[in-house]
Amino acid sequence: MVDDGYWSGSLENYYALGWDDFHAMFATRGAAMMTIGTWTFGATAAGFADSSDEWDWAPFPVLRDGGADAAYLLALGTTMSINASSGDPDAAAKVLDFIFSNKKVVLDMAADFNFGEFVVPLYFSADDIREDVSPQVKRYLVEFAEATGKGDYGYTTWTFWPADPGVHIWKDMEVVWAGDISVEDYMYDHQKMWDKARKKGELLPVGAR
Amino acid sequence: MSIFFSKNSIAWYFILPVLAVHFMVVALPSLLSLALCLTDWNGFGKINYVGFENFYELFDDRYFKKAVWHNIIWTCLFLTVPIALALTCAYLLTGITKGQMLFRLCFFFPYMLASIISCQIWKYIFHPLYGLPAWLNSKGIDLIPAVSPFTMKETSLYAVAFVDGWHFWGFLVVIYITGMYQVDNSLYEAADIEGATKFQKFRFVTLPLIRPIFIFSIMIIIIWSIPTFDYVWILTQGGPAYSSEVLATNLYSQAFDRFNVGYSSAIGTLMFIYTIFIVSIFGVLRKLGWEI
Repeated sequence: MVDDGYWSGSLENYYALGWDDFHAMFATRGAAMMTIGTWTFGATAAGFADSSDEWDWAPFPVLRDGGADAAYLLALGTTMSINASSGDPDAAAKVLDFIFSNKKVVLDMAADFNFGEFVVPLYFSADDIREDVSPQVKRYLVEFAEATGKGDYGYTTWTFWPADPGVHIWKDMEVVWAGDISVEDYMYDHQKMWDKARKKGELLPVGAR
Repeated sequence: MSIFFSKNSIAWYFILPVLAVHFMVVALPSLLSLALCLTDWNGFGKINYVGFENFYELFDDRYFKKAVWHNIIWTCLFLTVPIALALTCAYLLTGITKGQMLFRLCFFFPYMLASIISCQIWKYIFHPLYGLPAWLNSKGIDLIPAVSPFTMKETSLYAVAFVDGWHFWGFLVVIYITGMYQVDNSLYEAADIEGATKFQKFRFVTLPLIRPIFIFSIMIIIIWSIPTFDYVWILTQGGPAYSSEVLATNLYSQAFDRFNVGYSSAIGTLMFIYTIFIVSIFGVLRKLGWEI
């Protein structure tokens, strides 16, 4: 995909263009699509606010030979945790329960900011969602709830991976793209970092499904 | 009792607050950092002593070695291009009587700009969509491809060095010109009588007499090249693919992205040792009677 110019036309442009650049390109027909997460909904909707064009989203296609069902790259991008040495863990738990069981708070956020995060583990149907929520965000919330309800979600590197391999996975990938090291060397380095993190007990626990 | 109120002691009392602040802000963190290089501390967890393991790993780390090499290139670039330009311009400026201040101001102006501003200006000049090459291309002039040199692995380090050099060389012009004005004019008159060319006057009169300032500029360039950070970080963050990674960006990334604080302290320790080594060389030369 990179070699075919799907990323901003070239690897050099991909590195050079920032958030404002690619949103502007997308909103003004300079780019056909953006490969990005749901955190962009607010900015995308704002970019199209004065345009007669419309935008929508689609799950990322599976690129392997033979294909498969479209993959929803859903993830728990944030963890809200209670510190083991907290003076009052029950009170902290109450706060978390309030946030995660209060549909209204979440839906108001989605409506006011066109923002689609902080919805796990709530289940939404189309009827729950206010009329003024953009149709793209509404469809996302419903499909997201269905997918996560079936357990179809993963874990993002930036929250759940140890810091060293968590940075390596994206930063050192550039070195592979640049042709400076082989994929095997890259994976070897990555494995080494995981082994080290495991040895040091730096792996984060994940919640039961 | 009188020793506490002697002239020397009173001077110490005035210096004491500054020393205390320096101890807390510079000396203490530096000492802690030196101690941390022998640990595997991640910045917030338990501190384990690991001996010289961080250093063994460093010497096996391909990106650390790359950063060292980039720092060497960086130092060589700054010891040649800005110095040659500044010496030439300062010398030429001494021959200008009208409008000299304007030139001096123009050359020095980039040095007064904050690094973030200089970087943003150059970033936009070479922006692939809105920059100068893109604009020229849109007018049918394809002199320069509309690709940012900061994002090409072949050019990124040199592009960043160019921007930093552009900001820095005016400072050298000012210190060189200050030194050149202190040269006794009668020496130039004597050289004129001998029929010396402008270049010969520069080579045999100006350069030897500004030697202390010249050597000082070399020393600060070598020392300042070691922790160079801001221009690299703002323009490329050491990328793409570590093509502009230098020691300071490597250290920062290890400490604050990867939470390898012990490892990054080892990098800092090596930088510190190198700096001490350079300063010592100049100290020895001074002891040997060099006018520096």
